[in-house]
Amino acid sequence: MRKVEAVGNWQMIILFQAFITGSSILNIQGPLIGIAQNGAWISILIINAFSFFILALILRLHERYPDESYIQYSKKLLGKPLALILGVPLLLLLFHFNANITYGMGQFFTTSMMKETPLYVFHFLILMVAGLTVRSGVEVMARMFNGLLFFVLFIILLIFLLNITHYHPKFLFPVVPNGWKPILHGAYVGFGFPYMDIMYFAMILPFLKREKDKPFKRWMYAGLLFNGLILAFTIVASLMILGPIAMSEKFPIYQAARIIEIGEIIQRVESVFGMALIIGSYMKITMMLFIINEVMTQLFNLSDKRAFVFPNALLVFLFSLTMYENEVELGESGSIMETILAFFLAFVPLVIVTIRSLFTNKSS
Amino acid sequence: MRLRRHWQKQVQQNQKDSNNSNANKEKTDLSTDLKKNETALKDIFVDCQDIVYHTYQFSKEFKEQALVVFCETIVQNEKANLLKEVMQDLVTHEVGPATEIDLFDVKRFFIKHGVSSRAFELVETQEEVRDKILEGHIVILFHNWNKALAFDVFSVEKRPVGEPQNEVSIIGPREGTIENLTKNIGLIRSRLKTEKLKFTIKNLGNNTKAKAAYAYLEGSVPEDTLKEFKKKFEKVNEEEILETSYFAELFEDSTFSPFPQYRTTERPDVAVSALLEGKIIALLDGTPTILICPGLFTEFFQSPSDYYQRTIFSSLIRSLRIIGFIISLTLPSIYIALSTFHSELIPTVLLMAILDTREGMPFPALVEALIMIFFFELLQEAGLRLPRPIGSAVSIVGALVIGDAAINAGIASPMMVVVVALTGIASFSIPQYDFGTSARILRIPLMFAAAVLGGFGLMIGFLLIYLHLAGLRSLGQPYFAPLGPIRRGVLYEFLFRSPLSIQLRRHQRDDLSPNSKSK
Amino acid sequence: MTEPIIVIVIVYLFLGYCRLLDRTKHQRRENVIYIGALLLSFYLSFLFITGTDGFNLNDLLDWPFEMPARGILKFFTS
Repeated sequence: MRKVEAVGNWQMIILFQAFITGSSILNIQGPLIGIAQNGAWISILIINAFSFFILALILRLHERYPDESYIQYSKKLLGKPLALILGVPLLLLLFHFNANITYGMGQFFTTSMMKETPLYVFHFLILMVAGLTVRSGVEVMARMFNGLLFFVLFIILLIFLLNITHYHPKFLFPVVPNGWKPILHGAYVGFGFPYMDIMYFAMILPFLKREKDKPFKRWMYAGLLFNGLILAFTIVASLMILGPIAMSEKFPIYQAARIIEIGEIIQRVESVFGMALIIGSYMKITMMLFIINEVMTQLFNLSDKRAFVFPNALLVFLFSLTMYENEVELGESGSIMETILAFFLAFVPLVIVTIRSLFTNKSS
Repeated sequence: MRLRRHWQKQVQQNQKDSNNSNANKEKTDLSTDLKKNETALKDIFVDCQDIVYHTYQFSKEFKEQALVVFCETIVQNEKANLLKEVMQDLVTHEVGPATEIDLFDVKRFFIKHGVSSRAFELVETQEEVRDKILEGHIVILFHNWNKALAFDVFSVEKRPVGEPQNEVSIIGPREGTIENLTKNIGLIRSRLKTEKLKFTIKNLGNNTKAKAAYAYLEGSVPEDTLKEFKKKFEKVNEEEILETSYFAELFEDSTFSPFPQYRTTERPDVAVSALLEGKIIALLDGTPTILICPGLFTEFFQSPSDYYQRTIFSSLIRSLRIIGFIISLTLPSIYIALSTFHSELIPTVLLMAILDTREGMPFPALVEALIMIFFFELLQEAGLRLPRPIGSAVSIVGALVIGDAAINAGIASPMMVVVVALTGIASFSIPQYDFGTSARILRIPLMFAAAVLGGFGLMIGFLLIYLHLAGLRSLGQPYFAPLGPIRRGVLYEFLFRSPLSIQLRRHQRDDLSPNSKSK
Repeated sequence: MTEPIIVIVIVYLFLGYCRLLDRTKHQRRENVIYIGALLLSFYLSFLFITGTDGFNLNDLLDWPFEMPARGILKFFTS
């Protein structure tokens, strides 16, 4: 009854959007505004422009090797030992990243909405559902994320719409108070999260069942542009609502949700943001778990993919609980370490693989 | 997983047994000696005291003998002496007065398939005679002839065609299917007068020998679905099928899912519109329920009267049903989550009211909700079996107990009673009963999830249900079809019933059919 | 101290149950990698239960990259 897993064009695009936008739309404002202050939206646009280059690399490699994932064609191009040397750090990076996301979500709940519940409950539940989803296969994931993505975007839009009385455009200026360095710093951090994730998506691309007449690459680029614009928009909106406070808030949208007040009825609806955060993080964690699973089974040539999902989820669970003593360390890891790790362990190998592919003729 | 394999092994074992027994079944031919045939039949039907044997003599000087055997409980009584009719046929067509007819004339007439006033069959083996008698035929055996005549006179008291009680509609036909397979097929055939409507009829089961049929409209039904269905239907041979819902359980991809994967109906117009949409229907002799396969999530919210009423109104009512389903599934858990964990989400005035009434409540919200829902479910189940005179008394008792007395005794708060009552009523707004039961099942785990972890637990519960729905398949088609892989045309149809001018043209356009590609 | 232990026990039971459900033949290499992952998770569970801050993945990745990262940070915030 199990056919070969494949998803259609539109579903792949939705998966990409869920991956890129789904979680970052909720998490990106805090760090970026803290670093680049009023110019954070410029940082996002800069790094978004750069990420087109990454997407181009990925799509070009996908053109050449439509049925193979990143690990598979890097094995072909670089030979197994070198691919292993480059692949294992990538795997470690993925674990690190996934644990960060999980901890980020859990940390939100234990500090704001449900303070008495211990951290591991959140991590366990979300990783269990993510593990079950990954086991069901990429088709099921594509079907689910369609609805969930719209839900998240809808909630964000709603929060911004209901705040319509609180916008103060004057908070946006001055745009560059301290010179261009903070903005570049913001772009630098934005490279690590969320835009390097585009490369991880290369593991999912081979599941595409290409429908020849429908445009695909065009929509991927359009999706990336949409992502950049929407993130910039949320940053601008948060700045306009919260002003200078935004720089010291971890989750500006959460604060924005707290100050909504329509009549006497709609007030204190910040729990809605919590729901959106759960769903966005769930989508990201699920796809990252899927990617980890793919990388691990392809690096080591294992045949049974489904058996490794729960051990991987267990590892992520334990990493997320033991890596950091407190949230400060998580913040540091996210803003300081992430970019340079992503650069050396993911970007550089990608460039190596691409350059190598330029010099090799594709053998059939 | 283990249970499923065990079951499959059972089926294989049964099939092997039946194959063996079929090979060993001898076909004992009828002998020319009437006495031998008679004793053989009496041996087969020993202790079946409703089988009647009449011996007659005919022809010149009453030389020839004939034996008439039938089962008197299932034949039309007035026509019991078919032998006389047989003789009268021959008299008018062939020979002289009845006393002149002899066996040779009878044989020649019937072997040459002469025109007789009743349809007949010639049977040659004892097994066939036995089967014919049990199907309500009158079998006439003649001395010195090794064949017998069988006439179909089946008649058992049946319900007349009336309105089905569970699927009432304000406008529209009031015909419902009855327990006779042939009449049901007739109700459908008379509405779809095309040769593309194909029926396949088969006998199932060793003891019930029920006639089962399935039908589809060639050209509308997708190939893979039909193949899948045929494969599953072929496997059912030995099982004693009493109701079409047995098919549903045997064919289901996921037996333990709370969601039904097939629709049932008792209205031929619903069956016909399902056939036009490319579904397969299954019927069984002895039950009026028609099974519509496959059943997709969004179809469970449609009722037949949707298409007979005005567009805007039916769109709104459909939205009402969807909201009703969501309420029936989630309202108690949302109430528990909000009142226990996230009280800030409730508007302040309402919150004061709720807190007021929850003063001095002995139980936490979860226990209270469980008790109230338990009462309600008990009442529902008991109400199914009430004889009519007591019915009204119990509804009064129910209203009093569950409503007033519980509040006054302090077991439940008024808010909780309102919540539970609304939940219960909402669960009846769903046209398909089977689907409403899924909400009743899933309500309780969601309540527990909400009580333990509030909004987070509720979200996790939703995600798990959503995950299950997204992975479910019905006959190979994705269950959650227009919402899962989003197909814009059909998604629109889910919420708004588009005007008929668009609808009726839809059947000719490929890309809007929900069955075109299963992804 | 007791709560983490209970959580870890439940988690491993769940994992064992899922392993039993997968009834395919297991290659040798698969078992090796599985045991490797399991050993790593034992070490991490130990860290979790005792609540200490042992050598972990972030420390492993910090080792080559921390100095350059801090350098860059100083560059940006100077």
